[in-house]
Amino acid sequence: MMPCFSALLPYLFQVSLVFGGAACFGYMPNSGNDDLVLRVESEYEKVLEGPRSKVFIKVALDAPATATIRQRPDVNLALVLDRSGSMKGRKLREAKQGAVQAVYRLNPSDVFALVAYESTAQTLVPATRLDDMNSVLQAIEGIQIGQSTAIFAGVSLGAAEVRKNIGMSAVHRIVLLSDGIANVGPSSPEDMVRLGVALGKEGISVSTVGIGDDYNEDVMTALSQTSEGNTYYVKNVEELVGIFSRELGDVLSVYARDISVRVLFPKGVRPLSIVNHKGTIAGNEALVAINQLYGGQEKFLLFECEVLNATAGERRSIAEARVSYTHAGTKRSHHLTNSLAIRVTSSQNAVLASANTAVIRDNAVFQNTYVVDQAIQLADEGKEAQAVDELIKGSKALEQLGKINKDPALLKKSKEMESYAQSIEQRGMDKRTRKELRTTNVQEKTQQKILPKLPRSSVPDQPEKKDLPKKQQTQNQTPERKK
Amino acid sequence: MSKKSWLMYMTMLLGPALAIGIGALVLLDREADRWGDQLRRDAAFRAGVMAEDLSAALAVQREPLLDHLRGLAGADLGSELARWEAREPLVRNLFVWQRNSGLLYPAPEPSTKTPGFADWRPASREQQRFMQRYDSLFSGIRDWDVVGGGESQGQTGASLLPSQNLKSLDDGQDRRGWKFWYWEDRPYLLGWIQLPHNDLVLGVEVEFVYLLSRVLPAFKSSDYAGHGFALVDASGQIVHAVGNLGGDVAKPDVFVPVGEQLPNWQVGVFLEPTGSQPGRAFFWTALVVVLLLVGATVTGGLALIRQTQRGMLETRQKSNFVSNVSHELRSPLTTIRMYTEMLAEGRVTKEARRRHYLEVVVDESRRLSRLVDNVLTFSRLERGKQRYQTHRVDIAETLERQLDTQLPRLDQAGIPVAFHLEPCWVRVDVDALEQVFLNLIDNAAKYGPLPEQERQNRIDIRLKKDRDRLEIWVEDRGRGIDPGNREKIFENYFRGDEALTADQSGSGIGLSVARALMRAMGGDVRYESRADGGSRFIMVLALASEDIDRAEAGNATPVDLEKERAP
Repeated sequence: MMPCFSALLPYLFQVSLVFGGAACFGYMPNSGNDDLVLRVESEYEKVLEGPRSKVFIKVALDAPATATIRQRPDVNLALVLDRSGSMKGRKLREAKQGAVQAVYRLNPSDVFALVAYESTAQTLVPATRLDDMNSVLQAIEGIQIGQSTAIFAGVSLGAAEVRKNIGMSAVHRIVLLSDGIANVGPSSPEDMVRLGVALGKEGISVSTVGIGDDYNEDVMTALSQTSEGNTYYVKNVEELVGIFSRELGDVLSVYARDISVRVLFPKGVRPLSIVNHKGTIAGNEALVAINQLYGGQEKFLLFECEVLNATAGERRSIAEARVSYTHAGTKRSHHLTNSLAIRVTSSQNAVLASANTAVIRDNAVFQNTYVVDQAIQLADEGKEAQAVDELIKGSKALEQLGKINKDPALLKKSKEMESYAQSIEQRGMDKRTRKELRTTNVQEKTQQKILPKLPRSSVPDQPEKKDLPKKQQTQNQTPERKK
Repeated sequence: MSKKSWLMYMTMLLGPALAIGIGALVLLDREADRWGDQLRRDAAFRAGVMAEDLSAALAVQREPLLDHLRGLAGADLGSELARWEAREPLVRNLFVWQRNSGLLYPAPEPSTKTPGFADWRPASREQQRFMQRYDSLFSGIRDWDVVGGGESQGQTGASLLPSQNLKSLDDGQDRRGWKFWYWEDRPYLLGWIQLPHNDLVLGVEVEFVYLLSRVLPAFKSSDYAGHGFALVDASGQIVHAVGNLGGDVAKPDVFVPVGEQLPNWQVGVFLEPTGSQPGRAFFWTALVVVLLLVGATVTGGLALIRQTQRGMLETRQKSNFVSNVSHELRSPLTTIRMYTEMLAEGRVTKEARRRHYLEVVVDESRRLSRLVDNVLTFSRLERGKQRYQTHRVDIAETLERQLDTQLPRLDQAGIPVAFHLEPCWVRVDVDALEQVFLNLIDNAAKYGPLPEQERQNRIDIRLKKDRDRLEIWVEDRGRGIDPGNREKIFENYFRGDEALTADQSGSGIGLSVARALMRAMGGDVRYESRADGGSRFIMVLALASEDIDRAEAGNATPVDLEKERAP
């Protein structure tokens, strides 16, 4: 026990630095510092003594904002477009226009592929460097309307095109656009989860763009969530071009790729689960692979672990995080290390007083996504009243936590849940509300960087500030960080 | 022609034609089927090639997984498995199983006995579901290392490679196999490998949807030959389709199994739409040809039958004609001979009587010569040798002169004749005109009223002048002509009554000669029925322009030259 503890001593010093430091993350540009910042924090800075004490820790990565990134990453992009009958007219026109604008923003060093699907899927432009932009533009213009919706085949062909250049140090991305329900090939949300998980392992992220009220948001979000892509709900077709541009902006802002987070737990601490991300717990370490980190993004991982035989007064080493990543622009590998140790106390009050609001909030907001999932499921089963109850319960829990920690972000989130609950109570779970709820929920889960401003159809009289990203409002409450 | 012979002809003609047609259709149908079969075989062959390609792609993807598993066996197997699980897209779950200990990884509970699995941690939700899925396998309820064992259970298909299965465990070779597994109606693929030296079974649950997605681009062909191809899963759902689907995806026409890589999965073929099938086009073209052939045979046959029929009719008419003419010639000759013999014997002493006899002889010889004239004219007309010599004549005068020669005969027969004529100059062949006129007069006299009609015959001859034509009406109060025969009477050999049984003799060529002559001179002969019984034959003559002028000039004061002659 002792040798192990002493081996961790150097990290103790770092832990104290983490907590004292200033944390200007979120949308604040990290001017003058283009390095990724790794932080390890716990929900409470102290832990209660006992044989098994549970601790939530958060491993956060802060990428510098886009403005400070000098070199943009190469992009290996496959655009997978829906040309089923329902896309006829305006939708297809806007999609084509969006695609054309996306192509214009790519460099000759980028790789682009175009796949269109209906009852079958065709690779219209095989993965190609954009030397000959005209033929690509012609292929986009030439897309014709078909019949069925073979999303699976479309994504598979898109992935096959991206895979051709998977060895390239680039952001590998499929952008899938659909306005309908997949009716050919595997098309259940579970299938899409499996496909997304595997594509994510390959380093290919799928961003999904759902148009209108008739696509299956569960399928689309399942695919993007598990493969670490973005997900968008385009309510009005006019927004489509903007969404393409945002998505491409996001792709071009990628700061780090192939991020591997390894969290080592010393003897006496047992990892229980990775709360908000897929990953593996192998022995005394937890492994998480993250495909990409966007510029200006804070990406955090929540872990649950238990400290065995904690005795009051001692300082226990909890975790050491080792992160390796590839800088998307320079394509060089980097390594970061940070660790966390916390003091054991016998006083419950001391524990409560040592709360880290940001971690508590992140955990609470993440836990709340399960509440929303549950509510959607209840509504699907026709139990709308119970769904409303579930949302209100979630809202109350957030409100309570917000009041204790004096966290306005949580209170705002609580209000948001409440308004959804009211909307469902009044009008039931209509298609739009469900899509909005599902999409924002997945965006919350995956910490999607750019949240498209969705006009809240369910609560049209909400003031605009409701939609401000939470980080902007709450940055003053985040703990200071020393370097 | 009798109904019987008609029937016979039609059977002779239609029978073979129909037989040919039906035979050709049967052959055609068979040929079209053969085309269809060929098409199906071709499509099935293509589908088979695609299935092989797909199987090959699947094998390429999944076999290295077992190779990798084999290389994993290290000291810290648990961690290695977890890391590989996190990294390899094709891996959904990994497991380690031992016959006696059960599942070692992911472990339902802590186990410190086995080296490499000391660091136990709770199974993830995914792993818990995994253990539940294969519980029957891991708990030993289902035997899983027996070839074909799974297949007999219907749901699963163990595809242990036979060559490896034959080798015993002791020869240092590993045993490996794949198992298709269905759980809650979803397919799963499990691969396993048994290490030779310890009896650990390392296995991998393949990320099946991803495997499909991965090999999907291999499901293609360089030439779909107009067909559509679909990968159809065990429950009949289409997973992926390529080629020409011809509209929306429906049910495939032909199925080919994918093979052991995907048991119970099939490649379905949507045959190219019938419209564009070469077999169909061939069928229709050939059908049209056969119908044309049958049509031509029947038409040709009918034409031949008609020709034969006409020939037969003509032959019969001719023989009738010959017998008629013979009869016609015979009766005046007999009369003449009889009277001249009597005169020659000198037994007739009374002058009046001798005169009468001589008149009869003259009449009969005239009749004979008319008859001979008609026959000769008819013969000339038939051969096209009739010549016409036209002169300007006064029709009224010509007809009157002609009639004068006939009057005694008519007087004798008790038929009054009325003239309603006026002078009218026309350019005409006088001989032909006279012949026609005489024929008409003859007919009028010959076919008097039937006894039951109880009226007296009488002949009226009128001249009707129009601007550009002249009509000569010859009217009688005879028996008239049946409505059905009114055109037939102008045909060759036609006689309104049955020739040999009739009360009046005749050759059957008088009217046809009359019409032929008149038409040759630009006129015609028509028949009209008189309102109060009897016939009206109208000789139509076209007037030359000079005649028209003159006729108009001369017509200023019409002169009635009516002469009434009573018997």
